[in-house]
Amino acid sequence: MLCGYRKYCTLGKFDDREYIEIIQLDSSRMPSKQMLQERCFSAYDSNGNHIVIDPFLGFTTNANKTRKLYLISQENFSLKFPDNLNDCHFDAAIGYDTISQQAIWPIDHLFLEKYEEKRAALKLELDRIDPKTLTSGNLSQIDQNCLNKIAFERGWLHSSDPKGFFDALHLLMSRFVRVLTGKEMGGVFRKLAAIPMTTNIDHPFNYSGSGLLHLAIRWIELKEEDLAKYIEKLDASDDEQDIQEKLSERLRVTTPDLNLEMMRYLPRFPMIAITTEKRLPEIQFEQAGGRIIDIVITDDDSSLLLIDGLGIDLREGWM
Amino acid sequence: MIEHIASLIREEVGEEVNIEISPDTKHLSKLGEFTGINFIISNLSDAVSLPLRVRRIMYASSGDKLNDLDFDTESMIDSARQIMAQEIGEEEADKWALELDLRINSILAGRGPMGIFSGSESIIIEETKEENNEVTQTLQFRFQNGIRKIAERTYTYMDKIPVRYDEYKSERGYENLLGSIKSLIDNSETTEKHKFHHLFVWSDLPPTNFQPSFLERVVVDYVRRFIGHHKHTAKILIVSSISRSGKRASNDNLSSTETLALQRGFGGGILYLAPGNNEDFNYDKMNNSIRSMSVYDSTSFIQSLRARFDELDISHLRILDELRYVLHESTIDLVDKSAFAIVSDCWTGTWSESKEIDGEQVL
Repeated sequence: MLCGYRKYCTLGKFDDREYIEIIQLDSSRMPSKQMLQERCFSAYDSNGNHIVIDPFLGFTTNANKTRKLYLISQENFSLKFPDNLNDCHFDAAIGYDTISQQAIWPIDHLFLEKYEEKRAALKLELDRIDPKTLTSGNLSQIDQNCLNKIAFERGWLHSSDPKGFFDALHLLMSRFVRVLTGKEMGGVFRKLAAIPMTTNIDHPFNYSGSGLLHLAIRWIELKEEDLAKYIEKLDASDDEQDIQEKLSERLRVTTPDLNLEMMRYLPRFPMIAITTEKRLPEIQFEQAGGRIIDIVITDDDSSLLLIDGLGIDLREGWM
Repeated sequence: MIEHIASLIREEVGEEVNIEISPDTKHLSKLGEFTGINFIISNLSDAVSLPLRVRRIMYASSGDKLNDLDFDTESMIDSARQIMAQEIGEEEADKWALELDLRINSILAGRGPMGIFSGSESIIIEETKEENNEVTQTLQFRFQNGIRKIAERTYTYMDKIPVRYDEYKSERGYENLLGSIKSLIDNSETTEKHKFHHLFVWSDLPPTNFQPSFLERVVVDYVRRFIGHHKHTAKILIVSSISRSGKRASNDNLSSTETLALQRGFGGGILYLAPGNNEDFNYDKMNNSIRSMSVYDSTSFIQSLRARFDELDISHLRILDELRYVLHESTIDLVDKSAFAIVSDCWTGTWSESKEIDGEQVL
């Protein structure tokens, strides 16, 4: 049985029911205990009897157990978890990268696992890219079309760019794909790329290309330092070096000053929005850092999020 | 409108299917106890709580059937783990068993228990070959190092055709695994029958203002299209009148909660168009038999439609993205007002493709 609010002691006897504790992460005004109990933590059983519920049941394996929940204003949550990149629907995103400040998709998660496994080989192969070995892009026509669409959406290409820009982007992506498929990777990324990928579900793009193209793009976006390394070591002719550098500037995901103590990868948190009728139009259910699973409308003029930290102490390091 | 939609669904699906109308969001425990196929028809505004509702039904309803299912899946995983342990060692086998457990949980959350036995992600695969009137079926299991045959059965059409996994004879060493699989499928078939179809409805006018055949068409289409493997489906249905020449179709617009609820809807839905009695859409007198084209070419009709989208303040929402158009062409029961309906899928967060595991994201 979960107690919505802990009662510490009754007539000298400790109440040993499971309880949740709500921790404020900013100076937002805490809603009343009664409102939280009645609107967030109560329901009726099948006989119509009033019961206390855990609204995060099914979203965390710690549901119905003693734990902390967190309360923060929507404004501050958006500041802590901005969307630096994707600007898309986050329904299927599974996590958040606090350094590149972007949502993580299922294919990213699988890629990052393999990336750690092959980190040394990938770095070595990036160092070894010889501009004379691959002098023009070799992606399939389908991949080129996909890349073209993504590039315009991401702002890597502009309509005023000379054709050489797309060719250079095509070449850059082809080189990254080549590294992923190199002998030293032992087929790890080829195997990953062969997994069926659904647009907007497995990756953030609305367009389908080969798995390898999507992996290469997300690699560049998630590991900005590898793109920098590629440029640093490329040593191409002046013209090519110049255009590749210009492109990489557009591709580079800018990262803020880093708090090295913070966890880099976080899950997307389930959240309940507590807000007024007037502020409903500001609500976004699916945000880069979290997902609103329910709305509670109150009279207090604030827009708050009640967050389940999924076992992560949200006070530590990054708040 | 909700009651009318419910009655149309009832006509289409029969008495055996449970139809629940506007359940109180505080009474979700009751929904969790429902068995069989259930249509839950709610006001659009209730879609704001859709993820909470779906998870509550899924995870708060752990009756005996689900406990049996847990026991059977654990038993199957353990049998498979023991087989693998002999080949790759205890440590690797434990690691693989954990992965298998996560994978099965993902399947259960997305497709329900029968997803273990069918589909591209299935763990157990049944193959059938027929030769000289004799049918040979093999049962295969997806182990760490590939798919492997674990049992076989043969019958002819003269025999009584075995049901489920009856009559399968185990390959040597797979007896326990086959036993747990048989028990699992028996319980899965019972649990599999529990499905929930959530429909969130909004309309600007009572049903009598719309062409009866139009509403019937939309609802019948909805019922027939939901059929699939997913344990939970959720759709939004908007039915609205369209006025001509700039007049407001109705004073009834979406509330802020209803507009917010539309965020749960995806694009790629279906837009049904029902031109009214006085809609002059047959511009091309030579080709007026091609009614659908003339409707799409009718500038005034499309402008009125767009104006209604603007009135409803939904033009910027993704439920209007990549809509497929369907023209309702019945003329026997035409009404004065033109109308449109949109049926759009909602994200329930339980699709097997979502890579979520037992509620927790994979990270």
